[in-house]
Formats: sequence, C-alpha cells, structure tokens
Amino acid sequence: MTEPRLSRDAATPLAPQLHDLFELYGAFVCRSLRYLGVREVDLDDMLQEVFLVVYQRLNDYQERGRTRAWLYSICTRVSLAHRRKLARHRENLTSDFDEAVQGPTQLTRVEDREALAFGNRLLAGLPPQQREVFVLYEVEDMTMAEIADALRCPIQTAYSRLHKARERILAEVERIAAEIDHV
Amino acid sequence: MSDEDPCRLKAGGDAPPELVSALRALAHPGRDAERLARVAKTLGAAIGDAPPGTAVSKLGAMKTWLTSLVIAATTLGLGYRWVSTRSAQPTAAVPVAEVAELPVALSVDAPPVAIGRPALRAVLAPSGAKPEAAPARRSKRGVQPEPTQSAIEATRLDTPALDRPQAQDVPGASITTDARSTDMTADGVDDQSSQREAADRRPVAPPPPSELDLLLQAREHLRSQPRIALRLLDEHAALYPKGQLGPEREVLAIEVLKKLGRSADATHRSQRFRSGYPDSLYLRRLQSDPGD
Repeated sequence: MTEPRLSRDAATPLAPQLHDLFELYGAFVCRSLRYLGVREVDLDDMLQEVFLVVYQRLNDYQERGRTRAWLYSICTRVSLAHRRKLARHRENLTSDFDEAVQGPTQLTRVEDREALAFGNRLLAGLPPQQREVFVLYEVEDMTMAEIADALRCPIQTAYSRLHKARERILAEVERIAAEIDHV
Repeated sequence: MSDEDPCRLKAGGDAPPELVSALRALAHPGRDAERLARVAKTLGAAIGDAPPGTAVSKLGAMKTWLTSLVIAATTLGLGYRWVSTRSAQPTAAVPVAEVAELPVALSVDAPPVAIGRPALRAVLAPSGAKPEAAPARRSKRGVQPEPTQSAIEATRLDTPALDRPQAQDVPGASITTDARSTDMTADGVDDQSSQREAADRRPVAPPPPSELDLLLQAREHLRSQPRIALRLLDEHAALYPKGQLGPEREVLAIEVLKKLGRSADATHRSQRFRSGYPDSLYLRRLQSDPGD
C-alpha cells in the first residue's frame, strides 16, 4: 500500500491529507475499531472520531512509514475512551468481541458470509491481546515491527502473542473439523 | 513484510483452507463500503450544501479567504472606490481567473484548503454520479457575476459547489443572469432551462459554510494568520452554537488564543472546555500542553 504524503509543513493543506488517509485507511480503521470491541451501532461515530483526532494531530505526526501503526494507536485510545464513557453512563457495556462483530455485512456471496462468520468465531476464542496481534498480522498484513510499534510493546512480545494465537486458532479449527466429522 | 516475519496463514501453505477463506473474508474490502461512504459524507463533505458528485472547490475555499482581504481593503477606503467603479458597469462580467488571481497576487499565506478531491468525491457519490474533470468545471464558470457589495457579503459566507451557477448565490446578480438567459435562448435552450433561469432570478440567500469547512480553514490559518483563524472560529460559534464539532472548535480556539499571546483568555476558555466537555478526548491533550 502506498503511504500518503504526510507533511508537517504548515503551508501544506491538511484537508487533502485527511482525505487521502480516509480513502486509504478508512476500511482498516473500521475493522480495527470493530476488533477492538466497538459495537456496530457506535462504529460510525467512532470512525468519525478517529479521523477527527487524526485531523487534530496531523501536524504532530512524525513517524513516517508507520501510518497504520499510528492510526491503530489512535483507534485504541478512542475505543478505550468510548468504553470508559459507556461504563460511566452505566450503559450496557458490550466488551465482548462476539457482539461487536455481529452486525450486518455487505458480503453478498453466501460462502463469503459463512467464511466471515467462521473467522469471527475463531477470533472470539482468543484473548484480546493475542487477537489484536493475530488480526493485525494475518488480516491486515502489517509487519511485526509495525505491530509492536502500534501496540507499544517489544517485538518479541508481539511474536510470542502471534505464536500463541496461531496455536489456539489451529487447534480450534481442528476441533471444529473433528466435530463435523463426528456428526 | 520483513525477512524475519513468519509466513502468513493467508498465503496458504499448511493452513487449513477454511481458515484461509475466513482470513480473506475478514479482510474483504467491500465489507464496510456503505459505512465508509456514510462517514465520508459527514466527515469530508465540507460538504454540507454540495449535492452528491459535486464538491466545494479550491476556488470556493479561496473565496472565503479572499473575503478577509476584501473586508480589509474596504476598511481602508479602497473598497468604496472599488465598488463604485464596478457599479458603473453593472453588466460587466469578471472572468473567474481574475477573481482567483487576486488573493494569489496579494498572498502572504499558505494556499487555501482543497476540499472534495476526486478520490473522496467518488466515495461521496455512491449513486454513481461521477465528479467532473477540473477543466470542464472551470469552463462552466468562465463568467462570473458582478462582485457587488452583496456579492462581497456572499463571498464572506458562501462556499458554493462549482457546478452551481454563481448568480444563484448573489441577489444582486440578476442583471447578469438576464444577459446570460438571452444568450441561452438564442442557443435554443429548452423550457426546463428557462424555468431554471427564472428560478435563478429569484434572490436566494447564500448557504452558510459547513461546520467542517470553517474548522478546516481556521486550522489552515492557525499558524500563519491566527487572527483570521479566530474570526473563522467565532463565525463557527455564531452559526453552530450547538454544532457537532463544538469541542474541536474550542480546542482550536484555545490554540489560537495562545498563539496570539492571550494566555488569560486561553486559560479561561480551557476551563470552560473542561466543564463543558468533561469526557472529551481532547482533555488529555490540553493537560499535556505545557502552555496550558
């Protein structure tokens, strides 16, 4: 993916940069928020919130070449603040990943929808930290260096989480296959 | 992928095929298309009054910027002479290039905000309406109505879509519209066009700039011309006292006040922000700012 031109130069208009970012990474941000547990009903607002924060911070952005890591860290903070707000207002807090991914999809093929449901089921069985690394690596195709940067953790920790997540996922796939065979 | 990264499961290899399909479905690009289009409308639209497939142009943003210069010139007494000179030629039309060049000639600042780029317009027009190429749009506005005093006022507030006839925005431009109507009749324009022309003759109040448009422009002026930024923010506060981007406006205003050296005002506004938006994500930013 081509990195957009992000400039800290005050003479460079911010709006085009924001548009570039939205076009390139809007879907990534949307998926990330969902996997961070933001409910479908709140996703529009949170997506907008993330890009407003991006707009505010664009001049301060320095980590060129790590755009997705930067965006993901914003997603993390926005989703965390959102969850805290829900908790303060005593709303029904949906921390469960299950519910967050239950919204309608625009996938038209039955096979795609089934595959998506299967993928969500597998991800739901992972602890949040492992799921984060697994999704960023296997779904979003980020490098481990980017992931460690996004999660602010040592790269070895990221490798370890990925390794454990893969083990769990593969074991779950085997278990489900065995169930189907048994039936 | 770096050399040390393990092979991805999606690449196949030993991974079960159903897992590979699931991972590909999870990353399906069309999954959130509708949502993205929705949010793009809210976010990018600078949008407010622009119909799908059209966009606020660089020129539209430039007009608002031009306003500051025109108002300043008027204050100095130059405006009076300019308006009266122009008033002597009510049907004369000003080419758009002339209007566009004025701020460039006097420019000491960054270029204006470009809003509604083709890529985003494509997102903004899910119905299939294609954005027109820039040269075609420019040719449509090859003739600009007379910049009377009311036009100056319209320029201050208006950020019109490029495709809309300019006369529609300016009450004082009916004479120019009449002249154009005659030309169009001579060209054999149909009844529908005549009705549209009739509608154009009616004075129409210029639509206000959108919330986001005002804030984007204020942001553009933040570093180089904080006074203009503050005026734009005040305009936002007046037009949208309960707007959705109120917190963003306040944070920007605090930055502008600090930039202007009005630290007492900035502190007061910051305190008001804390009490008004106790849950805001910007609080941490305000707290971490050593100037706060």
